[in-house]
Amino acid sequence: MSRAVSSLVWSLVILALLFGGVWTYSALTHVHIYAGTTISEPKPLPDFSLANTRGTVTTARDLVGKPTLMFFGYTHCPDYCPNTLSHIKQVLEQLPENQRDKIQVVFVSIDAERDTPEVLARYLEFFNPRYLGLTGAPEETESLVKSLGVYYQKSGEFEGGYFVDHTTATYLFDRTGNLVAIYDYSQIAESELVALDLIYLL
Amino acid sequence: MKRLLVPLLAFLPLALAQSVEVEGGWVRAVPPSMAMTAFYGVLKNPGPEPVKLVGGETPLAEKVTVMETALAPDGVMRMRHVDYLEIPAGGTLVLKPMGDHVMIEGLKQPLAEGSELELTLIFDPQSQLTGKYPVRLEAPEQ
Repeated sequence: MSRAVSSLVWSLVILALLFGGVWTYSALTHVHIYAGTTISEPKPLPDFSLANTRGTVTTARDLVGKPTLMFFGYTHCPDYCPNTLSHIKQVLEQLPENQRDKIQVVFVSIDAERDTPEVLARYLEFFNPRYLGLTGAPEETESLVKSLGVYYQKSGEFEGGYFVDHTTATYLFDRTGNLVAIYDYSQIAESELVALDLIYLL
Repeated sequence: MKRLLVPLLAFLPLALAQSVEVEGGWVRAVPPSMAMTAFYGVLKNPGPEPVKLVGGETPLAEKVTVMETALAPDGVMRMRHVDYLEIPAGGTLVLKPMGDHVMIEGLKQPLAEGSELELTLIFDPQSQLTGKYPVRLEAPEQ
């Protein structure tokens, strides 16, 4: 009996030391391991100026102040875009209700030919009217696209339309507008882990 | 006895041709401004021969096509129309978000979340399967 008690006490002591060590380490180094790929040297948003779904213009400076989840797509995208939007919805639902407004969700269209601000607004309204849509000609989105390593290419023309092949990552920026992590399509589906990243940034 | 057996034998190949079944089929709810959506589900082929999924029809859209989706290691997603997707003998074809799927093009009316879409899948060798599938915003829990 006493042997059982003493081994229990020892396990508790060891556990406490372990947790204490981890806590001290993370407190000292301020390291947060993101659920996506962590950007070791946070990279600031490049300058850009794009028409938004609120009838005005958004620049890099406008995105400073709130943690931001940004991804690239187009409204005629039948699979990836609704899929990512539904994952982001699940991420936000993990946060306490009063925290959800503190996260900015930005959808950048890489199909300005069809995605006018009005078309984009109608599309995003269906998912969440608070999401911000940005759209612009290739030369207007170029700085963002290049800085983040986004790739897109018109493809698969068919009667009544075309598809756009594109990268499927979601980018996380902190409140100062620095890129801190990149999620691939499977990492963004881990809504609980992504929500922890957002809570860390809030 | 022999008289009875001959017509019965004629029906034997039909009885043996086990048909494709759909498990967990669903259709994605999309904004009313969008004229296309996708059908997902697991197609099971219990038969001894491969079956090709070649297309489909629905009263609510102009066209139903088969899409192959490839996700490159660099994260670029490429979709293209294909003539068919094969369901191996005794195997399955998984249609899922970010993967191969059936495209429903030219929607004649918005599909409300919670409603159902009647969809006929067409196979080669010639057979059809009509079902009603739920319209959902998100994939059902696995």
